[in-house]
Amino acid sequence: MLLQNNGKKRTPAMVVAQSGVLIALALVFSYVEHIIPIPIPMPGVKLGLANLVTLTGLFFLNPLQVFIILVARILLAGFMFGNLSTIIYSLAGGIISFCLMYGATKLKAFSPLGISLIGGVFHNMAQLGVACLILKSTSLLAYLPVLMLSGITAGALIGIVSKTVSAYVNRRIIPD
Amino acid sequence: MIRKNIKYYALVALVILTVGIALCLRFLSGTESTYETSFFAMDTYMSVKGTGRDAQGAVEAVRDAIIGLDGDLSVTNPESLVYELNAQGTCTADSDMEYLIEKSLSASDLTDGAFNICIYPIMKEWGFTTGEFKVPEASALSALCDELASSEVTLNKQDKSVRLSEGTMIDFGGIAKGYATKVAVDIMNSKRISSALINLGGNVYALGKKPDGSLWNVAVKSPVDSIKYLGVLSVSDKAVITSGGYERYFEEGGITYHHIIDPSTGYPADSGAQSVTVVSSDPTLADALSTAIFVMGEDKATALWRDNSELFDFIYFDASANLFITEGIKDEFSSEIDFKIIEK
Amino acid sequence: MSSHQKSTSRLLKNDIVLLAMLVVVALILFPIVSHSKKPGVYALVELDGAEYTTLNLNVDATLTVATNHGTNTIVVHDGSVSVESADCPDKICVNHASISLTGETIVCLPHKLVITIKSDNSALESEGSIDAVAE
Repeated sequence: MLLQNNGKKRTPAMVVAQSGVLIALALVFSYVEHIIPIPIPMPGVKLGLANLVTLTGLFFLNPLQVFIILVARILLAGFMFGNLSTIIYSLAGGIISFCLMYGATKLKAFSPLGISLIGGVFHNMAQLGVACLILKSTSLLAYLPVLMLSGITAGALIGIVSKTVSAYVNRRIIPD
Repeated sequence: MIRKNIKYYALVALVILTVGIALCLRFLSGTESTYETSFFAMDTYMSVKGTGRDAQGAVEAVRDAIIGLDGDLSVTNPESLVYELNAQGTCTADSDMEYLIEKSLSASDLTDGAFNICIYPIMKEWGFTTGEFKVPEASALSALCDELASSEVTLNKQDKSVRLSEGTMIDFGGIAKGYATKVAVDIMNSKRISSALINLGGNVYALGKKPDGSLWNVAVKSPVDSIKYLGVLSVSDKAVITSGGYERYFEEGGITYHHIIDPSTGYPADSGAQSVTVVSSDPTLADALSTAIFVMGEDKATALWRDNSELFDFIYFDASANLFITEGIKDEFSSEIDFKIIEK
Repeated sequence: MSSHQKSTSRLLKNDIVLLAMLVVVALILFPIVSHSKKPGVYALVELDGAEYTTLNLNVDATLTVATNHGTNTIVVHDGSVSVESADCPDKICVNHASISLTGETIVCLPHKLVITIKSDNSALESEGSIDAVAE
């Protein structure tokens, strides 16, 4: 099924090469965010640049391929500049937001901006949920509104960028 | 047209989902709170802390109940049922007194009289009830001991009547804090408090686990200055109750007289114990046993534990600074000093 | 082309409705969640995930935490805690507003230092984590 995309046949080599390039791109985004943190002193507040790859990918690629890129990026980034707990948090946020964003694209009710909003907000909510479970404490929920707003902001920014990027991707990058 | 509507429905559904999740989280977080209060009752400083939906309501109900019990169980309060019983030799028990008498009698049986609520006249003679301490005449004490040996408390289960034999007076002082703890635990459970720490002047009950999910750590005070704690117990749903001669005592003629009286001699217990801690899920029993084991000494206490190891465990610190614990709490207990484990 | 534009504008409208609703939900949650915050009793200082020390909020104090990661100077004043100075690269901790309410934190990521306001004062009674003393 990976070899099918929008009805076009692709060779396994194309899929692997494309995934590799996109994983590398997402990793670079993760790295950039790692070395230049947002100057807001609160855990969990971040832009989520790497989500740009997931989001844009959802419009052009097979969702399974996007999912594989997402998980590979989280694992690699986690091992390179994180630790086990950051992997758990990222996976929770990444998978939940992926599922909801994928569902939202199926609805065809939102532009990339709206889908990105959904992704941003639920990414943060999922992370907060996992944090509450791991720490067995509900006191963290005080962060919920802030994290929602931060998810909205990040989602909107990434959505706008994705929308802009999409126009070029469509024409130039995805080989027919 | 329908297709278009579906999308709007989806949008609304998503928003409702968001709000729903948010409110669920809020429901989970906002209603679980911790409330703590401190107060004086039963001649000691008490603090009660609980975590749950209605922590404040539960903690305040516990405080009110304990303050009420303090009046009801006081031997010096002319309004109290105990006062009436001691004065008239008979009364009709309420549920508190019925429970206390039954527990006291079974604790007396269990400990072969080392715990005895009828010791009140001897305590009074020593002045431990009033604070006007004096060393009684040996003859007076032996007379009181003889009287104590023949004392009887009978509770008629049918009409709840209590009868004391001639000259007998009772005092629930040795068990009141344990019973107050039981009442507190019952209130906490009925109010669905899942985590609480009840500390009635050093009589500690750890209910459930800490809000973070870990066990409660209850330290056992050391009777000697060189060590801060005898050790720490990590427990859940257990009473930890310590008796030591250091709690109340006076000195006369260079001799220290402490308040734990041996009912068989009428004198402060001299079994070699410095501090006894009882760990049990029954706080009333734990309170009675901590006193009794202090009186009985290690050998008798060990025999008692071997027959009733499902009821309680104990920590025993003797006059030569040897520390013993029973096998049942070996995994819960940690200490900086060496200790021996009493095996079954 | 015109139908494409129409559908894009409809999608954008949905996006904006979604955005508005999410913002409203977040704003509604703000007072609900934060009202449970109350003044803390002590500040827990953790280094690299392990407890380093606790600071009583009622006692004004200055604490310098020096590790091989670097140095942070923590100040307790009038019941609130702030980081007065630090040699970390980002200075997030120094720029952070002072904290005094239960659950608030200051994090210095480069130094792996976390300061959290706590209200559970039993941990303050003694070193370690003893909840009560049986006596």
